[in-house]
Order: sequence, then C-alpha cells, then structure tokens
Amino acid sequence: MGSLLEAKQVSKEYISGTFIKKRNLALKPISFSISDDSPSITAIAGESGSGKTTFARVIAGILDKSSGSLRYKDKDINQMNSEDILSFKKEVQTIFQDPFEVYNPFYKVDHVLTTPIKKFGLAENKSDIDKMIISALEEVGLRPDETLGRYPHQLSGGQRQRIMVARAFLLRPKIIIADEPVSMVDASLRATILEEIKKLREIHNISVVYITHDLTTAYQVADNIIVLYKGQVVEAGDVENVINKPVHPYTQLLTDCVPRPDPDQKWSKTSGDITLESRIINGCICAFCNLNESVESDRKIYEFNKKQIVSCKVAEKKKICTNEDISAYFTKKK
Amino acid sequence: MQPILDIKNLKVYYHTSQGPVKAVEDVSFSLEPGERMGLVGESGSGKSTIALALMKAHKYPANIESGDIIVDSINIVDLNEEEMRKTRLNNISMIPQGAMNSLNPVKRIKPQVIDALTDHGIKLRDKEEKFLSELMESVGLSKDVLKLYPHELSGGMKQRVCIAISISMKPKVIIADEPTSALDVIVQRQVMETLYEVQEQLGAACILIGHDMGLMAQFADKIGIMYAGKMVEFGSVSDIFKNPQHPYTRLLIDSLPDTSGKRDLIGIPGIPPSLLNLADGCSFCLRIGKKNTKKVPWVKVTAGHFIQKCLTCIDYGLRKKATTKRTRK
Repeated sequence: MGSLLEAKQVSKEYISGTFIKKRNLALKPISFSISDDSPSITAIAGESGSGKTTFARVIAGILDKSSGSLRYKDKDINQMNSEDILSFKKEVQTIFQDPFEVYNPFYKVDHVLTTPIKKFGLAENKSDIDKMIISALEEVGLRPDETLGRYPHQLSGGQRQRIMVARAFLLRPKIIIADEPVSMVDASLRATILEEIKKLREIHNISVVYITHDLTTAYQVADNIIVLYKGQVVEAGDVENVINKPVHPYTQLLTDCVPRPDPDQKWSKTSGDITLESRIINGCICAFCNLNESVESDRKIYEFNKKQIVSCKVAEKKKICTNEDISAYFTKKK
Repeated sequence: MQPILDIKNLKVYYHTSQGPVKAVEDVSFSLEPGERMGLVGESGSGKSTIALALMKAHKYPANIESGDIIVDSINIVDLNEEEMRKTRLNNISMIPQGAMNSLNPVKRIKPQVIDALTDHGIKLRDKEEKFLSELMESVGLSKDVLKLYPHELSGGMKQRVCIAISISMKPKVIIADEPTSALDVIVQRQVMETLYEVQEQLGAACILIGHDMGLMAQFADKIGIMYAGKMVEFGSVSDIFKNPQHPYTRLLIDSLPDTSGKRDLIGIPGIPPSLLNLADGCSFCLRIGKKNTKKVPWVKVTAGHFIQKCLTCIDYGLRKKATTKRTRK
C-alpha cells in the first residue's frame, strides 16, 4: 500500500510587512496522506480562520508551504521535473468556493471547459473535445444543450458550481480538493452537488478532500474528518465517532451550533459568551478545560480509540499518538 | 390580537424591455406583535423583493403593482417618500444581508449609529452616552466598539452593530434579510441568539429571510415557503416540518442533510422557471415536467396552515418517497 499524496509535517506561515515583519502561523505542522489503493473522502472542518483553506491550498500545491515536505506518487513536488509537475497539476484538481467569481464574464462557459483540454493536450480535434465536454456535463447531471454556448450570468449558482465539478472531472484526476463547494449555493441545490461529489468517488475512484464548516454535510459526504482550530488539529477520525460522539470541547461546540432542522430540538441556552476572544483568555483554545497552558504551545495528540484522535486534556489518560500521520487513524472504506 | 403587519395581495413586478418579471405575485400574510416568521425560498423566489417592498426601498424597474402593506394600521403603500423616511427605522427596520459591506469603512461606528437617529430628528444631548452603551449592551457588544472602525471588527460583530442600528428606534417590525449568510456556524449562532433576545425585549414582529431550513426551525414560529414569486405554503413551524403538504416543501425538507445515519442525498430536480412572462397556473408543475394552467387556489389545511393546492403535482414528493426509500449504509 502506497500513498498517492503524502504531506509530512507541512506548515504555513504568512509573513506581512516591509520593515516590521508580522508572522502568522496559519497552519501548524500536520501530516496527512491519501492512499492510492482505496479512494477516500476526507472532510476538513473548522470555523473561519482555522486554517482549513490554507491546508487545502498547500496540499493542492497552490500555496507554497513554509516547512515540511509534500510528495505526490513518491516524488517531492519541489524536485519534480516539468513532466511530473504537469501530471500533478492534472491529477490534483481544485473546486473553489465561489461559483460567481471563478468565471470570466466575457467568455462563454465553454471556455473553462475547453482551456484545460487544450492545455493538457487531452484531445486531438474539435469533435473529441466536444465529446469529452458533453460526457463530463452529463456526468454531473447538466443538459449540454442548455449549458454550452451560454454566458456565466445566464446560469444559476448551482449550475455554475456543477460546471466546475465537470471541469475537475474532465481531467480524470486522482484527487479533487473541494473548498466549500456548496456554501454559496442554495440549500435546495446543495444535496444535488454533494451527491455528484459522492459519485465521483464511488464510480470513478477519485479521492476527495472536502473542506467545509457545515458538519451535517461533512457527515453525509465524508468517511473521515479532521477538525482544525487555529491551524491545529483538535480532533480527527471516523465521522460517525467525531460528529456523533465528539470528545474535544471545541468539536462539541461546533456540533452543538449546527441548526437542526427540527423545531423540537432547539439550541440549548448557552452559558455565557462563546466568542473566539473569550475562549482564548481562559488559557485554552476551548475555554472549557481551564488550562494554564498557552494557546500557542504545541499540544499533544492522544489516541482516544482506534478511530479517533483528540488533542485535549480530556483524553489525557489515553496513550499519545505514535503515528504522526493522521490518516493512519482513519477508517478505510472497502 | 390586532396584527402589527398585514400584507394583502401584494404584487411586485420588475418592468423589463422583454416584459414584466412577476417577482412577487399575490402574497398575503399577517404577523402579530412578538411573532417570528421565516420566509424561505431559493435565489430568485422573490423573498428579498418582499423585504425591499416592505421598506419601500425597491428601485426602478421594480414597482408595487397592487396590494396593501399595513404596518401598525398605516398602509405604507400610500405614503410618499418623505413620510416613508420617517416610517423606516421608526416603525419598520431592516437588517441587511452583507454586514461586511453595509457599514461605512471610513467612519467610526458611533457616528454611524447616531446618523440614523439625527436624521429622524432625535437629539440625545447628555443622554447620548447612556443610550449608546445600553444599545450596544443589548446586542452583546462593549461600548468600546463605538470608537472602532468597521475593519477592526469581526464579521459577527459587524452584523451585531447592524442589528443595534436597526433597533435603535425600537421598531415594531424587524426584517432580517439573510443576516448570517456569510458567517460560520458558531458566529451564526451568536448573531441569531442576539437577534432573538432583542426581538423578545422589544416585542417586535420579526421576519427572517433565508434558505436554511435548520435556522428557521431554531428561530421562527411561523414559516412561509416562497416558490417562483408565490407563497406556496404557510403554517406554524411544526406544521411545516411535521406535516408538509406542498411537494416543494416536502422536497426541501427531504434534501436537508442530518447526522443520524448516512443516506443518499436527494436534491430537488430541475431548475425554477424564469419569472419573465410567467403564465398563470402552477409553477412547480413546470419544474417537474407537468402542466397546469388553471389558477391554483389557496387552500386551508388546518387552522393557520395554508397551501397552494395544485391537484396535478400535489402527490409528487409522496410517490417518490414511497418508491425510493432512504437507503441507510
């Protein structure tokens, strides 16, 4: 069993300012891998500023990492030759959050579909290009005659986002990184797009990294989840465990804040302030365990059970994780 | 109790060169003081147009064709612009959608809060400090926030400043147009709890506009479902969630993901029809490939629960539910 994409202790630090440098460690060292024998769907969850988008962009090779190594098919991406880089860029595709801003309004939507085919030289002639585009659009449930030849403003947000899924699928990638693909789409269309993403794994063996702040969709779509807070892993493992039996107080807060579509299950009255600021003052990232440790210090990750790892004193009695690769604790789906 | 807001047969059209776009077609509902109503619908269903019409903040080519909007026994459709200026914020106020963009970036918060009050001819003088700190406290912010610029605040704080401005004159009706659409779950909960508290305190009626059914279940007492410019179902929260009658409502509820077992996600098929030159009849039939050109009646199901009953598509979701069982893995 090898790994397709392997991130070892990757971190990302943003540095700003000309004379006085301001440093912001957005992603603390994290190890993660996607295996090549069975396709997986992994969700990355967290609130705004938790580093989830940074993580996605680092493993997609869009952002340069500050430390650590990123390997694709056992080759370090910083030492790849141009041929390998091209295949990495073809096989790792990204779907972005905003289906309104990714299109150039002056071009018809066909443009985003034909450009990658031409760039990667996937088709010989015009009719092959058309055939590929039509099959990709049908794959995501769009009718080609109603989609092609139109301008972005003539399509709805849901249709545009599905074209982005089609574009990613067109290149027959091995991995798709979807950065909040449904957060800007109407609730009624979310289900359709998420179902397309699930199908990519089930039918076409594509691994998906699904980034979101919505735990209900993460639960429905993914096998495993990583919860990030301030660039740090707070809990990870099987979605069934992490979402329905969360151990870390932060994950508990997240699952508690999900508005349940059931009038009988109202939010419990919160005790005091749950803002970000108040949680830090108490010395711990979660304000519940009252530690005297600094937020910035490295925290140990404990193995709560075979399918769940937690970085919180709650699990102190459990043994410390020996394997630094988070995905070693993931459930593999046959 | 006397309703504080009463909308009767409201029609709002956008007049374009290709013909009228019927954004709001014959919508009626009423709210009593202290009631919270959710207005649900997808993009382009006319829910935001209703909000703009209630504030009379709609711009050309939108036009209120007919109907009455009665706020505190005054029909605001008949008011001229000057009278309407006085009514806004005083009787009816709105919390805008993008809190990020609704505050002036080059002004501190304090003058932005006072601006609206001054415009309504209220002079605070020596009571100013006490008034402002109480106002900020009611939305859970410290009074130091008044000295800051918008860019120094987080998204949730900005949205709470917007709530503070909109309640500064104790309006009788508050309209919140997707107040949390750009915020993440934790901040969303804070903002919704703030809105809930200030609304309870004021005893104002509140309309929450959005497409997140989960949020509606948490917040609202009554829910109105909008589809293609028409209200297709109206009822109490438990009516809508436990006993949905219109096929669109059923599909909307079925498409919600939950965390009690994995299942196939079922989306709503098709796309909503274009509202341009929309023919009479059932617009949901158009989406699922059926046709009913007769006028669809507004039918009472039980007390306080109404639907647009179209006999052609009424069983649509039901039949589908019976054949495709939720598959649990």
